[in-house]
Amino acid sequence: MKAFAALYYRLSNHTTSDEKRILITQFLEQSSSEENMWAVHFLRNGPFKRLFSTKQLAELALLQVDFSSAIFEQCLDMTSDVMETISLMLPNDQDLTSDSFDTICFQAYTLIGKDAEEKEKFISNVWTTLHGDARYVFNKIVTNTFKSPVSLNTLTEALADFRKLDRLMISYQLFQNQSKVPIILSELHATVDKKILPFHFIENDTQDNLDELKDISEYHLSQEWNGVRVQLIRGQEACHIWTRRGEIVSDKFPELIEEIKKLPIDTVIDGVIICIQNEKLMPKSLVRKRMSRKRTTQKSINDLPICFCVIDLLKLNNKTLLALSFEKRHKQLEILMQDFMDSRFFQFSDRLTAVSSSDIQSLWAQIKPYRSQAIIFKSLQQSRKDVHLNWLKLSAPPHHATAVVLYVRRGEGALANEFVEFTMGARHHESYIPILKLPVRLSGDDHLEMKLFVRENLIERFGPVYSIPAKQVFEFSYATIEESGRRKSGIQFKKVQFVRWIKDGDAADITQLEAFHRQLDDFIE
Amino acid sequence: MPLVEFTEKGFYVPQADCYIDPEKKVPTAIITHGHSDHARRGCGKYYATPLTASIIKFRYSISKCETFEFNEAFEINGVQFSFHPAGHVAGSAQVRIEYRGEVWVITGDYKRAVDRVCKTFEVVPCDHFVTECTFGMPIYRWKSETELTEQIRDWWVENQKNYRASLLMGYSLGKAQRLMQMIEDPIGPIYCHPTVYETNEVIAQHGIPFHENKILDGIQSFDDLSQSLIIAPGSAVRSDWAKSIGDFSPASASGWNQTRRRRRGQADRHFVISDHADWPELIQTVHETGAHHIYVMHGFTETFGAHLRDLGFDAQTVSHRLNQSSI
Repeated sequence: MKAFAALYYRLSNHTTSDEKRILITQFLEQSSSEENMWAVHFLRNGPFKRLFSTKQLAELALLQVDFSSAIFEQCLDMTSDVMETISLMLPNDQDLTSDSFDTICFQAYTLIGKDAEEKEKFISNVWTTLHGDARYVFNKIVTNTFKSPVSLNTLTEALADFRKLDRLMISYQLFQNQSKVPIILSELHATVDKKILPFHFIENDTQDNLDELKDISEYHLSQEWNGVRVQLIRGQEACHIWTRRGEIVSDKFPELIEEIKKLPIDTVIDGVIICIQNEKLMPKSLVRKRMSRKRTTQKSINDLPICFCVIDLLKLNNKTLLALSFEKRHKQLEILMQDFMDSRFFQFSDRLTAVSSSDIQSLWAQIKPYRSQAIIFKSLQQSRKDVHLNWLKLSAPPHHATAVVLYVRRGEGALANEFVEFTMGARHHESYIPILKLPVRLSGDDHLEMKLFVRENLIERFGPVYSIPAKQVFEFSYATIEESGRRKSGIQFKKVQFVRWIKDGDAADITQLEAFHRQLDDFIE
Repeated sequence: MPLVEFTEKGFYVPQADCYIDPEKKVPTAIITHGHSDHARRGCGKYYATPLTASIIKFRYSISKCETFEFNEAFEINGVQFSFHPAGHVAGSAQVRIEYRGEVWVITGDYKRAVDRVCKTFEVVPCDHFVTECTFGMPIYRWKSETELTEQIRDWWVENQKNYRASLLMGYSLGKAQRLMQMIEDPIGPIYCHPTVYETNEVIAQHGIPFHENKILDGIQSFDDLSQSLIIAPGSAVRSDWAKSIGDFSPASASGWNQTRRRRRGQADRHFVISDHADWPELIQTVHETGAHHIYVMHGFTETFGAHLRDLGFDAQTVSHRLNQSSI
């Protein structure tokens, strides 16, 4: 229990997925198979019926201590977390020996549905054998308030590392096993039917210009869809939707699964799921929003309607088409899609037309209605056999704007002596509205100059954040603007980059908030 | 006239006309330990333990200090005073005051846990007990020294494997020395921030041994600090000094790290180590002194005072800001 609690604490404190993956793998290697089984169950937010409610647990804890409930309330003010307060306020016995993590979990599991007295006895006993973090995690488990500090994707990668298996196979088996009991890791095997696994996803190679393309007519040009890249698999018995990150999201899009069933058996299509509301193309974040919902309800299907944009046909009627050129695959795809002309779930990408590489301006005009910021060039003659084959991607030139610095934030750890983030504001009437947080590492002299300015002009300080007068003007670039209901400005920027500090810039001349909103309207239309 | 009054300037003993840990300039001051909220410049005359006297001389240039060893009684105008180990930081003391059979003890700050740098807390029987309660809430319960040492060592080993220096942050007086001495067999070189290093030297002059440690002054460049443990005050991590270290993992050591909300911030790790008594130690101490009149100050005074009253003590809360009323 102590080891799992330590893992939980460290996962909660580490921010990078890579560090989290390594921590989980280390834990799995050092723990018993039974402990691993329960650890994975909780880290994947597996279901566990609660033994007690939070209130019941607090009442039980108060019976174990010699102070009043008023003092408990004061402690609660300090932590803002009932589970933590309970775990900290109970007495600590020294030199204690607790049951193993799996024994405690198994005992808790067997007590589900038993009478309260038995549960109370069990919880009280466990409390006396645990300390701080371990007791905290235990409280979270028995009240079913445990939230995994790690994404399913990172957990899958850690399991793949630990079991030395392909992560897609792990992903598939985790998806298949949604039961209430934890899975035994040794039962994760390498022999799943390969027909249900996706093919290699072709990556896009970002190009700065079209100079490398000798003849543009050798390429199929299409816009990059603003959505989530997936492969649809119409299997013999089941249909699946795989993302490029190796997640199965079939249960998130039941309406699409019904449509996939109409495809010929053993067919695989590469494409992008996009969100369309009121016949308007919506940002990718809304597709992600549907994917992040724990349960897919009819309401979310209605509120966030999706559509699948087909890009490539990889398999048809159990015949792999990877050896064919893109041109031939695309023709077969066109024929296949004729049966789905009336379907609102399938969308076929229009081929963009450009006479020559100098015709680039016309391409940006063609993709604008699709909210797209890039064009994908697919070689017509190349087959998909080569796994190193990449499609070429040409991004639209970024937009540039100026904004004024309203707040600066100091970094943490080794960066505690530097400003690492600047909150930028746009002019709105006579005031400035925060529009974005710009990550910037100023060079030595510039940093010293900024530090001096902050020291001399500080308005207010909130921990590591310093409020300064709106005088310093920065130029930044961004790919696109999206609507945002969570921000005061009503907009959010994508792919933001710092360009320069305009030291002689006048705050009165920066880009107006209204100008950004006008641009947003352009995108939506 | 009560033996001790609580005034705007601090604990006042009218019969002896002296103050204990005064908050303002007074003619005579008795100092419990060298932290800045207990020892201040500008008083006419000081009384302290020899180690505390050296510390306040080093930190605040206070030289007019008369020193007395622990348990050595001294008299001021018929009132008998003596210092007794408080276990808080090097040289820290409780002050026992006796006059006409009435005994008061003012603890200053104290802890009961083992600390190799200072003498362990001594229970002094008294009638009136003035206790601090910085962590006077039941959620503050410290882990054993062994467990904490193991945590620090594991973190250091992990950093060594990743070729990152281990920067451990704590107060330059007290925590820094305790952290250094907690690890019995250091697994790498120990470096100290100049403030910590100089404080160590002052303490070492009083015969307290330290592990071998070197000064890391931020100017001198070292080839490899990746295997080392560096002890520094918390503010140092944000200073230019930290840039001389290269890649490092910062960790903080404080009792406030007990709650999860306080564990966020500039450190990779948060060790729960305090130089103050925890909840069980505070209650244990109150019981052991045998005092019936308890005065609680510094920290969660309302919570701790209320609990002592529930336990049947005559407990009063002393606000941090002083008033004229006697306690």
